[in-house]
Amino acid sequence: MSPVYILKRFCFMLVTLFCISIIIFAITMVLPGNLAQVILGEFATDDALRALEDQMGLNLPFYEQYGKWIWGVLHGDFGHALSMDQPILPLLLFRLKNSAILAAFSIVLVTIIAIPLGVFAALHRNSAVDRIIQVSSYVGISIPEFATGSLLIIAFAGPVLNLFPSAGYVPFSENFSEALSHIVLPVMTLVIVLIAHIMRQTRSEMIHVMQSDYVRSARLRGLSNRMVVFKHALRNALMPTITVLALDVGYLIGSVVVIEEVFAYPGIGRLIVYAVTSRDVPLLQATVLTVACVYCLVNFLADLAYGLVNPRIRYQ
Amino acid sequence: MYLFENDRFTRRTFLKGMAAGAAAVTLCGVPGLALASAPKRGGTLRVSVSRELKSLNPYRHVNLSEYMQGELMYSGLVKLSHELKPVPDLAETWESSDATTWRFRLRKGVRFQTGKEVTADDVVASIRKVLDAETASPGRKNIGPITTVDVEDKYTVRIVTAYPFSFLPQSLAYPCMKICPKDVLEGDYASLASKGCGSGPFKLREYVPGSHLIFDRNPEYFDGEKPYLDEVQMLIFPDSVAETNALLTGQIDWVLEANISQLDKLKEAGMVVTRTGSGQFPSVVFGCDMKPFTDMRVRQAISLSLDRQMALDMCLEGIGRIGNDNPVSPEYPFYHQLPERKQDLEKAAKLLSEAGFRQGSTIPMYIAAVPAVRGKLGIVLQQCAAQIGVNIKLQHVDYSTFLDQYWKKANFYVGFYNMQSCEDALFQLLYTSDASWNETRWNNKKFDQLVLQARQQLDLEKQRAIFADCQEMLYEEVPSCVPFFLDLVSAHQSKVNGIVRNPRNTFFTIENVWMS
Amino acid sequence: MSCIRTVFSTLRRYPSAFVGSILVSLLLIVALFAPMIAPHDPLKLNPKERFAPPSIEHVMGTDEYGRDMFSRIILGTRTSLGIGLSVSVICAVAGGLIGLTSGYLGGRADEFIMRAMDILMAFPGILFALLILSMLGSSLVNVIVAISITGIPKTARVARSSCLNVRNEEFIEAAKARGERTWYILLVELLPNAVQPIIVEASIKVGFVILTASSLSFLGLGTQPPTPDWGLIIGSAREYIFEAPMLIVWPILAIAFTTISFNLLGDGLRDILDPKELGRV
Repeated sequence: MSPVYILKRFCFMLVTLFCISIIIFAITMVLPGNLAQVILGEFATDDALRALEDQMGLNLPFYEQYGKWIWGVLHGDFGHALSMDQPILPLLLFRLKNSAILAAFSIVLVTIIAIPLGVFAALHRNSAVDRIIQVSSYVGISIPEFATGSLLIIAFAGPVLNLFPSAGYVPFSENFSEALSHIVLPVMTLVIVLIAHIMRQTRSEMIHVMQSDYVRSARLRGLSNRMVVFKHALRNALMPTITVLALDVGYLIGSVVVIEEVFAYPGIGRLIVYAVTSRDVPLLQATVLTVACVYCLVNFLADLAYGLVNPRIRYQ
Repeated sequence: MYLFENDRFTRRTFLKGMAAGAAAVTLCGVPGLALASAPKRGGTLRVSVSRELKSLNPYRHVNLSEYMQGELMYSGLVKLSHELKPVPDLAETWESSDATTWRFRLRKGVRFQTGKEVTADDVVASIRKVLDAETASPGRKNIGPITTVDVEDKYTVRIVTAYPFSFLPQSLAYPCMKICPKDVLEGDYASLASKGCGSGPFKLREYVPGSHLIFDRNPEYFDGEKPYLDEVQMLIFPDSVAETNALLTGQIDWVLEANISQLDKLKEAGMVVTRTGSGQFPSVVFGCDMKPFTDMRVRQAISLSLDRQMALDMCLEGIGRIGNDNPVSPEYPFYHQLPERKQDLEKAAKLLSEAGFRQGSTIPMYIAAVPAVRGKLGIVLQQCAAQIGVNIKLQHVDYSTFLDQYWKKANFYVGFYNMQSCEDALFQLLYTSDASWNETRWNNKKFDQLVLQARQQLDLEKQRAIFADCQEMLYEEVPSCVPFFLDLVSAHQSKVNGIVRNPRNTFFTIENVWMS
Repeated sequence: MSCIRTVFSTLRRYPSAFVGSILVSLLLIVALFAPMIAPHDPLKLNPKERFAPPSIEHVMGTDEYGRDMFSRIILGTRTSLGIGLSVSVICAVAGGLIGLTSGYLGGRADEFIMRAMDILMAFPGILFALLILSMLGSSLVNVIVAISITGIPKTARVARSSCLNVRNEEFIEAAKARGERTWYILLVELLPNAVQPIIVEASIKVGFVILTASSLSFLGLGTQPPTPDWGLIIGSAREYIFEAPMLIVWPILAIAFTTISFNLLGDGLRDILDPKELGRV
């Protein structure tokens, strides 16, 4: 992988983010609901509204407002969350950290569960285990995350088996076991949703590779089955799986938004939904932009990783 | 007679209480239970609230969580007792001979948390701050028609109203009307958003937005031994299922707004559930200046089509009291009892045809997402009105869009309002032609006249008679349909004592709470 | 006759397509005749029978307003299928046109269009839909618009790569040599030969769209009550999650059944139309 490629890819990411920031800003600017009205609430007088609109620069042309905003963002100033009268940055970091905890636990668990299962299913194609894995992953991808989450709440947080709290959050620094018990159900939901995805992907990639000329020739050379699987096929199958894993981070981000809402978990997803429903435009802009950044960055890294693992791939 | 129940209750006893009628309007102030033994010092109270705080600045407060935080950290001039009578807070006494010029005399020796003594200067600065349009305080139009406010001496404040206004003390008990040091108001006003400077019973120690607030006891609080608690934690629980569980597992001591679908579960677990009648209500608002609601008969017909008991059951699991379009609940001082308005589809259909309403016409009705009771009432009304040939099309919008585009503007939507400090405040908020939120645009000159008379009247009985006429007019002409009143339902651990909900729902009197 | 037989024998060789097409046809029939199948009015309130358990009268019991759950689930197929199918069609048409045009034109135009699509895809789907919905307001039509916008780039990519495979074929060159107009070549020559992957993509999309739409309804940003919509039913029944868990379970079963049906059909179609990909997900 040449440095030129990395640079090109990186530049493209920057351009993408720039465009996205414009899209976000444009969409949030035309949202119904007057920003000044949102701040002052239902009690505002017209004079106070006008004064605040001017003060906030709501009457400036679009490009000037955008310029002011993006300039602030680039200097780490995300502005003020209107609905809470708080600076956004600390809030954002706190929520991002909470979401990252969910995501990290989920990804680790998914990786150690799903990939071996997928490989196993592929090697024992059409066996009973394979069938079970296939069917269950089929069901897994066919149930929306909020439904899985609700079912888990009914099963594990209900009056019968009151094992884990159905909602809420405790910081790890405060009480480790409490904190852990609060994230069990959300993580479980994420894992179930993602496992189905990754398992299916690994299985199909593995089957694909096992049928490739390259593995066939290795077999013809008389290598043992185990050798073929672990030295050649698996390595080749893992590459696309890594990409899928990275792509699934995007999927994960979408899921996190919904799951945090189900479990009333104070992560960035819930903050976004809150920003949408309370029409807190600066908060919405900041949160969505942050998530988009994370998403782009992960995709970028996945591309790099893919290129590293598989030197034969050359991008134009 | 049901009005206040501190102890566990069943729905049956509640309904029985209702049937007995609610003519008189007294509330027991402090429940006998709390007085049974002497309050004890010490302990931590963990109270949960559902809404996030938008601002710590008391002049900008609009929701329950904020009111509670404001009351903990600040004092006002006047408080409202649980019977809705104005009682002293920082002002020890007040007087007026003509209801126009008022003198409020302050307690001496009360100190702000900054160390400075509370004087008339601070009170005047605070009232002026609320009245200043730039503050955009919700209290601006609600603390009375004040024209001038100035210092008479170090401990006396003189207030002059634009016209004789006998409800000034109640109005000054508005939750935004908190007293801050003058130097903070004129200096670092912005600091109110993050820290406190009041003379309230508690001091803010920690605030994590969206999560919790922690308060320490203010040892210099002026009211005797109070507060009893060493520490108060306000925990924000937006999810009511989680909130209930936290109460059951002992993580919190008091759920301010208990989930009504889980009351049985709470009672079984030995929690104390309290229900307090209140004047909080949802209303079906008719824009009386727009067709088809210009015709009083159409409004009456829709109101008559509603099955109120069904609405109450489905919207609130029956926890509340049926209303009859009179927005004044029995807790108000001048409540006037009127006959119950029962569903009468025949009469409703007749009124509609008399009004020339075309059967099957569609009327869009706007519903904001919060609180959920709006949406539920919409669904019930839609089905009821369909029976008399009114086709209501529910349009759901999120709360901010609702505020911006439909509230006070659309001609048909579900409103939701808190109890006010007195009838005058309620009428002036919603029903007079010059009401702050004249959403119905009923613009009834006779009604305006009556309200004005009552306000200037110093004789209680005459006031009562005039307000009774007002309520009859609202009942008759239905500028808005009030199907039921909400109860304030909270739940707490049995070790918590002294919890009393104020029907006005802006005072929580945590300084009276103690742990056994 | 022979045509039907061919279809039938093809389906037999692809079990997932076979099962999928049967289930999807079943769903279509239910959606089409929903008002006739539903035993009760799905909107009718019944104060005396709130939270009723399943019975002969109410096969799935009743909800918090005493409305018949079975009727609401049946009517919900209309909402779900309506959204799923219309979004897929919109994406196939719009994405297909964009992709084919981009692939056919090539060069700078192609580069520009595809980069634009990449940028749109650099947004997590549901988040983008959420933003669009908050701008447009929540309603059935707006849900369709929002999900379509987020789905178009993927279809456009598929269409483009399919177009690239065909673009240099002789018959296209021939058409160019004949001096045909661009739109003619695009629609008459290119499209029929590049349409298969677009169809596969569209059919796989249906299940995904139904999931996304139900999530949006659940968040309260999609269809609005009292519309019988599965996601919405779950969202409003959450208040009674422990008191009446079945109010949540029924719509989940309905969503899972529908999504599985469409996924089976989509996967089957891919196997049939695109044998190279056989065995891949």
